[in-house]
Amino acid sequence: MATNKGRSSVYEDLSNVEFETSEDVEVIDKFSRMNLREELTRGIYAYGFEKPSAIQQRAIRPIIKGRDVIAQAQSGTGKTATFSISILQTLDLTVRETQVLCLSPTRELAVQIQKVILALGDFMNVQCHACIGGTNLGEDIRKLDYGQHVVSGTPGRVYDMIRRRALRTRSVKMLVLDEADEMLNKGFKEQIYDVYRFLPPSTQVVLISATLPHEILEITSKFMTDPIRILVKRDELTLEGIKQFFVAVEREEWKFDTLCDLYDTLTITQAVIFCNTKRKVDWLTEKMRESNFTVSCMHGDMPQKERDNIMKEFRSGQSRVLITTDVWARGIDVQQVSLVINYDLPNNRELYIHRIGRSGRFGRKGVAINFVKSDDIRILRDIEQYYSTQIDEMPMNVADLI
Amino acid sequence: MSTYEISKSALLNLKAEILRKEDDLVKAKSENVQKLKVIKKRAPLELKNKGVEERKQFDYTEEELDLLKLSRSKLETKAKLYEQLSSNGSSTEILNRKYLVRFDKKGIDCSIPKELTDVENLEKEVSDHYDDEVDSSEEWVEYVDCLGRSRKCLRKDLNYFKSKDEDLKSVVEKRQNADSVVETIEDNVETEKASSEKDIENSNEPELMSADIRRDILRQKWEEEEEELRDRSDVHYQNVLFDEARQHGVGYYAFSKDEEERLKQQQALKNLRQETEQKQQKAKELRLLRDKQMAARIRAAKNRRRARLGLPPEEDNSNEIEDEKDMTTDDEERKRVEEEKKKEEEEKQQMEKRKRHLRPWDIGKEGLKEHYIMSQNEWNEKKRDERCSEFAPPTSYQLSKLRHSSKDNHYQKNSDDDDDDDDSDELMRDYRKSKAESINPYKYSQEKTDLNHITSNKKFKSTVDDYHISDTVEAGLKFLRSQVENDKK
Repeated sequence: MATNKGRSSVYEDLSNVEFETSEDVEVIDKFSRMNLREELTRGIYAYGFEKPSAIQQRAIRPIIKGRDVIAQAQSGTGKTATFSISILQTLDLTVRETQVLCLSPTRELAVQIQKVILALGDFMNVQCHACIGGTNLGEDIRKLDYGQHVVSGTPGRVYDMIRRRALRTRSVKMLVLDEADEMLNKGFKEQIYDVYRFLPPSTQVVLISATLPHEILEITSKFMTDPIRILVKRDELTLEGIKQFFVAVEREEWKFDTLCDLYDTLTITQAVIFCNTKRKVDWLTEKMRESNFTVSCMHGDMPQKERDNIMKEFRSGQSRVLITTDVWARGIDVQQVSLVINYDLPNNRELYIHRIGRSGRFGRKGVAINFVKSDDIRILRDIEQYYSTQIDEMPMNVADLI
Repeated sequence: MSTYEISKSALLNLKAEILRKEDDLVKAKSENVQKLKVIKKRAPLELKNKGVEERKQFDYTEEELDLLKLSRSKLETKAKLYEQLSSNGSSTEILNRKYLVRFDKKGIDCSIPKELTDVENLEKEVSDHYDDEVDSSEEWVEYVDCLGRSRKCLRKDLNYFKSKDEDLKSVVEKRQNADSVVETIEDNVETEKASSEKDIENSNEPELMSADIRRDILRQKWEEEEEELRDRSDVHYQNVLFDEARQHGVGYYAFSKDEEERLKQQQALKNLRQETEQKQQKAKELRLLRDKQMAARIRAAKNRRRARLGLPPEEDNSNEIEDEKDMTTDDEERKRVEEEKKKEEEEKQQMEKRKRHLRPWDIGKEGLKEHYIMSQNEWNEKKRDERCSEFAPPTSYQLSKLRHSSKDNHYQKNSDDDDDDDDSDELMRDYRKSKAESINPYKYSQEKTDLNHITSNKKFKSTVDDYHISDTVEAGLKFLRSQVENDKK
């Protein structure tokens, strides 16, 4: 029955269909009950997980079983670990060939996923390579030549490596698209298709994201077979732990003064400030530094080496305030970030969820502050209503909430 | 063997000479003692720089001098009283009640002054008796205790301290034994500690530096780490951590970055784990055995009691009960297994189906033997696409059919009931319009099909007929519309 549904859906118009979580999703509330390899379980506990999160309880098992899975869960609830654990469980470690391909929209995210897989598989001695643009091609080829169990990368470089036959795909059993909605958006979809065409037919596909708009779910039937869906209703998508506020400013110039006033609050732990353009990031950084505030900045126009170093500095806690673009909006996990500032409001509703999700990681507290001009307030109210969440005016004691 | 001939008398002479020298030495020493005593006694007390006294006198005011005198006299009386109290040990009872200090004991303590128990007292002793220092070379001994500290004590106390040291040593050894199991790991911890200490040093250093310099140093370090990674075939978590400030779980173990070392550590951990498991197993077995023995003993006791009462011994039926239990659980298990089997089979079927499915993005890939199986709908769609447009049903048909399919039943009802006024339905409006005309082919066909319904009396057929009805209705309406239009012209 289910297959029929899946098949007939290929050409049918799905715009009126409401996608819901599959009915037969099993919930396993302990890692020890998931029949994982001993070394993997050890890696999971070593990484700091004790009890599986909601998404981990539901999605790990079907992925291991080999089903196509579409998994949605709130930001910072362990989605990356969900597919990483599943990947590690399905690997054949005696075969040093690429068995899983994991694609993500940004280089930093691809590197982070590599790190998580290496961490969880530390006791298994898994080999995972980050195949990203902006790095030395020859080195990439050499690394792939050594043989990797998992390749985590960005679509462009991965496709390049496949075409050069440095990345052999015949043993690939699983394709994971992290931040799937972004990956299947206009900009990336073609590249994903290109990579997909090189994979063996009927490769297991796993889609993961905090946001999965309807139009994305519609096209999944093109490359997935009767997928298990684990979805979250949009009014349950914002986390209780992340308090959201706004600061009303009359004019754009006032945003800067507001930011300076907030600087002490920013440095309590770590903070990320989002602007909508690279130029604005540069401008704001310059201006903050002129006023003797220590900040670091990062965007896509920087050389990869510099981006790497800034990531390392921020991850090690050497820098505390990062001004950046939406290159940082999705997936990046730095435990200490507890404050996100939207210097500009994001261009769409999904990005809002992803941006504020940089704080409040895995059950920690977080605060998001939106700077809104008077004509922006309408947009903010729309976001508020869409996710049926609450965005109040910023209180005086905001530092206490961090 | 020796190359020199040594006579016995020469040896004797030598010995005699040695004895004489030794004697001399002792004599000289004893003479020196007095000299030294004199000097020493003077040294700390009397030897003072010139003019110190005068200056002191100068500094003291009269009042201070008076105060000094007063305190001195008080101390003197106090000393006298103490001496008196400690010297007469007769009235101990009264003394006990009156003073907190036990003067009677004091007398005894003084009589055996050198029975000292700890090093601190010894040191006090030293400072009190300067003259003892003289023959310290003989009396004082240095020794090294079990912790590697060099200590000093009186020769006669040496044995006592040695025994104390033994005690300490045993304690220390016990502790070490407890740790020795994890020795390999401990070693690593130590090296780690060393490295972390280095880190601390590093982190302490930059306190004095500017942030820029600190950053440059760190970047350099990361650069080096990456350089190392470049030619490695095996990369692990520690290699890519790059000082990330991340909280890990309790079970976290930072393996070495060196591949060999890492393997060793993993092996050590594995061994530890196996040991633990073995011990757990052993403990479990032991517990079971004990339980069994206990049960047997209880049974024996019971039987003895029964024998005393003249009853036959109780039968050993514990196994039978277990067997029965097994039987019942067997049944349940069988059921469960059957259910699981069923589920598995279903799963298998589903899997087969899924395998047969072909994704649109997979079409045209190599290694695809089966062609894509289309559903009826897809097939229809495909054929329609291929069809020459001239042979297609008129577009108006297509449109109204769509409307029909959603409102089929509704329509049927309306056609029976003329008074219904559903204006939303365009067809109904047309229908009413047509009714106003004298000619009504629709009604005729409707009645005819109604008759058909009655005779066939089968519901599923009626739904099939509905299509026919709607077709005829469609045709009729079209005809009517064209007629009306013609009339208007």
